[in-house]
Amino acid sequence: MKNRKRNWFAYLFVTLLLVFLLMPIIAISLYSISKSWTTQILPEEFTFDYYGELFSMPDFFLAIVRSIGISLLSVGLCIGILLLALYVVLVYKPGWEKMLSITVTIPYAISGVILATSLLSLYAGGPWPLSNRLVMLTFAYCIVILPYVYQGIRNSLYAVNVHQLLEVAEILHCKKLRAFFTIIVPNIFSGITISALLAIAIVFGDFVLVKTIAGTSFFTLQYYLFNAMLKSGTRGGAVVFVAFLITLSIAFLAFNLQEKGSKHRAQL
Amino acid sequence: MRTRKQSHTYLLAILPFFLLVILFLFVPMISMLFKSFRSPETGAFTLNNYVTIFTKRYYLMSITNSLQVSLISTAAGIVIAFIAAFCFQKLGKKYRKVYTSALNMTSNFAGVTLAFSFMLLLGKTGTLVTLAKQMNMKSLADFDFYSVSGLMITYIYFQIPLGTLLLIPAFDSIKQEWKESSQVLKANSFQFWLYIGIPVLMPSILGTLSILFANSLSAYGTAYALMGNNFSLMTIRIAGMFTGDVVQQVELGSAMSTVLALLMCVSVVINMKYMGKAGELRK
Repeated sequence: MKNRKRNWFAYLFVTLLLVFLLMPIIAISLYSISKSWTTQILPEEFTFDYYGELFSMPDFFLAIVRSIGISLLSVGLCIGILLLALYVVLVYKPGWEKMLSITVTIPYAISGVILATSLLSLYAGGPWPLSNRLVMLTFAYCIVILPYVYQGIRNSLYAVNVHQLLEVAEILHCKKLRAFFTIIVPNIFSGITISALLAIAIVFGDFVLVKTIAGTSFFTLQYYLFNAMLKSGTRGGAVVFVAFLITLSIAFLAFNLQEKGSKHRAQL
Repeated sequence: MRTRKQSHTYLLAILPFFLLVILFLFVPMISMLFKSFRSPETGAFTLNNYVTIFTKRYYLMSITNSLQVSLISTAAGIVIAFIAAFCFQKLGKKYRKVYTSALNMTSNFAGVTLAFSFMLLLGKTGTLVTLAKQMNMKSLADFDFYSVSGLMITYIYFQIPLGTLLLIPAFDSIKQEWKESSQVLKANSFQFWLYIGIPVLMPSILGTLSILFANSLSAYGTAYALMGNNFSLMTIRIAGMFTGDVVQQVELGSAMSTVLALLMCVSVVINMKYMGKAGELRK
């Protein structure tokens, strides 16, 4: 009896919490399809016009393309750089791993605003290509996502027996570097994909770096969102909802892959 | 000879990594540290930038505001997250799934998006405010969202899903047998949690606490979207000092950045210390 009473409390608490957490999301989705919403708790009239309007605007599309483009570019670069580094550490210099793992945790301790401002003040008048805002932004993102991508790649590398696989490959006269990229990397592909998706979601949702480093010269979706919010038009609601849906689908894709992976491992 | 040549070529593979962290992490950080000790007028070594930050009300306020908002939102966040993770254990399987999905979803809801959505609810013509006016609920109807309390609500909002998701796995380390043995020894549930449950969970709680603290300390988007440059937080002041429309104060900004980085470092070190312990415990 006592137990059931306590369970009742748990359900009540969690339900109330969910109401609080979901309230802003429900509000924004309703707002984005409401024609007029002034005096009542629910909108008086619904319309999908804002979405139609939004998707017919070229600069909205361009903002999405820019956001996705820079996410893919920086995450791809970061993965490539880390794979090469981890190859050297695993195969030739195991002693360097400690240094590598400490280095990649530093970005955790640096707030985005510090990274952005320090890069800007150092390279803004500096030599090309460092002074190029897009170059600065891309590599700044690489730094921000470094800890997440590293953890993902490292964990999956340890799940496969790298040394044994490489030794076998060498016996079969395959060069180590080639073996690493043709045998090991495909083996850990799903692990890399999960951390890549999480990193993409981080870059996609960034506002502080793009605002500080690139300013209006690189108009991403988050920037578009910010401007729409300032104008406070109903269209802003639609922009928020689209941005949120994109982030959500990236996160859920990663989550599902992870679930699949753990089920697969459990079966093994 | 050949082996020596080979031992040099493989190092080329790690070169991009070194270039990345040196050019975009170490050099900017070190240059920031140097600039924070440089006089804006003469370029000579000085401690004045730090003195200014800690004595002038304008700058000091951003530090105290940042600390205040972070501490309160972290405290509220950890209490709610603790109860939320505790309740998770008592739920049925289906409801658990709904719950974790909602937590995962809302943990992605941050920055400008979050500020905008809350504005629709609690802004001057927000739904909840309008409703409160109709129902004559004065305290909610007069709520000023563009203030510290409004900011606090959005901060607490983004702390809850993160904290809960971090704490849920920790509760798995509380073994059912412990509860049974404590019952045999005639301890009630409150005593069990006070003397066994919470002490066992302490490393995870402290670890989560430090993550939440660092998370709110470094937040920028939500606050900027809500109040622009009108509210004094460390992150907002730093961004303003480097990209200011009127004057740029690189040296002062660097000093402020260094203070913020130090605060962040402290919480990250605390986190590593306790999360490591929590991990060992679970094994």
